[in-house]
Amino acid sequence: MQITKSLPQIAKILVGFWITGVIAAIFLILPPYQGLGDAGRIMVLHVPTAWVSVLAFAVSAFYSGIYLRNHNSKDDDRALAAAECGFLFAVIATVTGAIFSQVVWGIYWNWDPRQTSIFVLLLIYAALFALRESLENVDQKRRLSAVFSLFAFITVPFLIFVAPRVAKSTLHPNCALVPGSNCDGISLNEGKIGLLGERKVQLLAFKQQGAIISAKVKVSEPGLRGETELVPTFDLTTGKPLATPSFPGLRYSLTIQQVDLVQKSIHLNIKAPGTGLLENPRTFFTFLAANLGFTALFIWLFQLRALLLSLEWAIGQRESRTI
Amino acid sequence: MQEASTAIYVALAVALAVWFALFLYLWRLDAQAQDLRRRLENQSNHEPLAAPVAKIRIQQQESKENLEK
Repeated sequence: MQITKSLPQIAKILVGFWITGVIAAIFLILPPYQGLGDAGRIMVLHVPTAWVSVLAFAVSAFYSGIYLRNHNSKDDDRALAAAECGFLFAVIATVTGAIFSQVVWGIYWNWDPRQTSIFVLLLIYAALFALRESLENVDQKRRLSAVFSLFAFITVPFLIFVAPRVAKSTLHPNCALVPGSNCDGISLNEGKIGLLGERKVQLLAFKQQGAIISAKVKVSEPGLRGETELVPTFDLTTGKPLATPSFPGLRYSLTIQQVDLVQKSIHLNIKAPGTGLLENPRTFFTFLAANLGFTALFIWLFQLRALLLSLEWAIGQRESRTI
Repeated sequence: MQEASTAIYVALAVALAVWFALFLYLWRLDAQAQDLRRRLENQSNHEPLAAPVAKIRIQQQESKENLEK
C-alpha cells in the first residue's frame, strides 16, 4: 500500500534523473553535428519538444471531447492544462528552431513554411486562451473552449506534418527524420536543367576516371542573383558520394546520390545539415531518450496543472459559498 | 580548441542548473498542491451540513405558508 502511494513520487524522481541524463548525453555523448559542430546538439531538444506539443494538443482535444459528453469540470481542467503544456512546448520548439536557423542559415526567422506553420499554430492556441479569458459565464466558457480545442486540433496535423512538406521551398531539414520528404533530388542528363529547392542546377558535364565519377554542375541562386560551378564526385565501388561541395554562403552541400551509366544520368540532391542524423547510434538513442523524458515531463506538468486548476475552482466555489 | 572544450562544460553546467532549478520548483509546487488538495478534501468531509439544510427548510416553510395563503 505504501509502495503504491509513493509510486508517483518515485516516477517524478525518475523523470528528474532521466532528463539530467539526457542533458548530460546531449553535451557529452552526442557526436558533433556534421557541418554544424556543437550548435547542432540543440536538435535533440528541438524535435522532442515539437513532438510533445503535438501529443499535448491531442490530449487537450481528447479531454475536450470527453467534457462535451460528460460536462465534468475536471475534464475541462485537463483539456486546458494539456493545451497550456502544448503551447509551452511549442514555444520551446520554436525558440530552439530559431536558434538552429540562425546557426545554419544565418537568420533567426525567415518565414520558412515550417516556421510559419508553427507560428499559426501558436496563434490558434493563443486565441483559445484569449477566448477563455473573455467569457464570464463558466458553462459557456467551458463548452466553447472545448469546441474550439477540437477544431484547433484538426489544424495540428496539417500545420505540423502536411503544410511544411507540401511547400516546395523549405529550409527545414525534413530528410533528417523523414527520408524522402521533399528531399527526392533530381536526375539529370548532360546539359539538362532542373530545380533543387530554390536553386536552378544544370549538369554541364560528367566524366568517369576509373571508379570515380565527377560532375560539373552550374548552380544558379534564387532569382538568378549569382551563379557558381560545383564539382561533386561519386565512388562507383562503394556506391557512395565522395566530394560534396557546399553551396556558396550556405551549409548545404551538393551531392551525387546515384549514377546511371546506361542512361548517362546522375541523381543530384541537397545534403542538408541533419541528413542521416539518426544513423549514428549515439545520436539515435539520445534522441529516443529525450523523447521519452520530455513525454514523461509533459505527463507530470499536465497532471500538476490540471490539479492546480481544479484546486483554484474548488477554492473559488468555497469562497463564493461563504460570501 | 581549449576554449571550445571548456565552453561545452560551461554550457552543460548552465543547462543542468536550469533543469535542477525547474525540477525543484515543480517538486515543491506539486507537494504544496497535493497538500492543499488533501486539506480541502478533509475539510469537505467534516463540513457540517446544518447551514444548507436550514436554508432549505426555511424555503419549504415559506412555500407552505404561501400555499396556505
